[in-house]
Amino acid sequence: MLEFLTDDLKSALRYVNLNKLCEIRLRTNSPVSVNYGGTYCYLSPNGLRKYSENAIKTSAEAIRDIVYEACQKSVYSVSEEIKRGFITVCDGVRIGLCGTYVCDGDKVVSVRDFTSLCIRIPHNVKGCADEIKRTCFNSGGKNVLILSPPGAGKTTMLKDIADYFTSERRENVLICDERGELACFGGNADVISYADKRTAFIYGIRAMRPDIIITDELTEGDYAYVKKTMDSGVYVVASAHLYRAEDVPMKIFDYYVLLDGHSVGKIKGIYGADMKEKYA
Amino acid sequence: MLKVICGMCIVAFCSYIGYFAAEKYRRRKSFFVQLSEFNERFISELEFGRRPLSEFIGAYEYKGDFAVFIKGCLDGKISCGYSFLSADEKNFVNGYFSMLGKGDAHSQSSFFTSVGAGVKKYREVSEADAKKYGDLYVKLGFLAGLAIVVVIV
Repeated sequence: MLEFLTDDLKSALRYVNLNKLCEIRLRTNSPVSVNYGGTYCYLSPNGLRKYSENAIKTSAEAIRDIVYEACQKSVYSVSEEIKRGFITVCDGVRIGLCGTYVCDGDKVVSVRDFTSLCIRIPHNVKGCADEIKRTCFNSGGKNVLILSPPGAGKTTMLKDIADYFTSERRENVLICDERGELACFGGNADVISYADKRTAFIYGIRAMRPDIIITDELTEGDYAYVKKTMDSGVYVVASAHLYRAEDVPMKIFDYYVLLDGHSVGKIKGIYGADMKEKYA
Repeated sequence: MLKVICGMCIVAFCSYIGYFAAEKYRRRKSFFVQLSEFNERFISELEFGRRPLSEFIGAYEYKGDFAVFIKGCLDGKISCGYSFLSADEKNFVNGYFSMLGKGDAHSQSSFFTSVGAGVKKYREVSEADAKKYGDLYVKLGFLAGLAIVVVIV
């Protein structure tokens, strides 16, 4: 999964339990930090350390090589993703990129001279969305929006929900995977990758006749397309980077699941369409 | 009768030596023809397909020295040391492949379009050399064979 890393990082990760590794942060000439089970620490040649003294430092060349290897030596093949500030590698590993943005007016042309990488390692946690399934889906399909700040487990929960609908309820699930992170849940679903929500919803509904659409990270402009999708009789389960249900731009969902931003995968509350709490 | 057969064998052998001597020009031509085709396909790929290099290269069949070289490039060994290429040509080829895949589609397209003229020039020169020296060496071999036969007989 992390073959694209440099040899010293791969060697150090041999001492780390990858099942608990959520994130690796690389910054030019700075110690490598990792999110290990929700706690940040440093990566030394002999594994994890609380302090940065013996931590591995990454050079600008190492960061450049990691991106090059992660792109299968074909940076051009992920140009569109790079413009959006990330690339997705095999198995849903997502690399956030920081560097010099090349712009033409308000349009990003490219990102070059990468200075920081945020490597997010996905995990399939079976049953992590059981409470959502019990509260929201006990009487069939529903429109559900999962809300939380980044890194709280939204995508992992969506993958568990996708698995539930495909393997247990045998529904036709369409995954609109704009960032290439969702489709690796291992189930039997139709997948549209790297297309924006509008394109994915229009073509996906027309072509695949789904019962339910699962998608990640709605932005303000996407809600109108979500509404159209719901109006056509297809359920939508989605996530958004928000930490209050009141901030959702269009209250069109049947349930709003609020995750606790302080601990991964913990549900803070589930609210109905009337914004009344159904689970706490 | 034996003399005729021996004479024919000598002429054939000398012609083959001439053909063999011109082999480097044919290898050079084959290399640059394939490089030129590769460049055109790659520019088109940057525009429409954008498959990763391994997939893109695997989609086409390459022959001889170019096939060996490009396989090495995929493994990260970009060092063209073929004796049939001049130092200038080796530098050009190494420079070309060291840039492959190391930029976004826009910059790659600009770069490989601009080096396309160089690739075309090398292709034309190598084709002309192969035509000129390939025929010449065979003819020289043939004549040398005839001369040997005349001297012996």
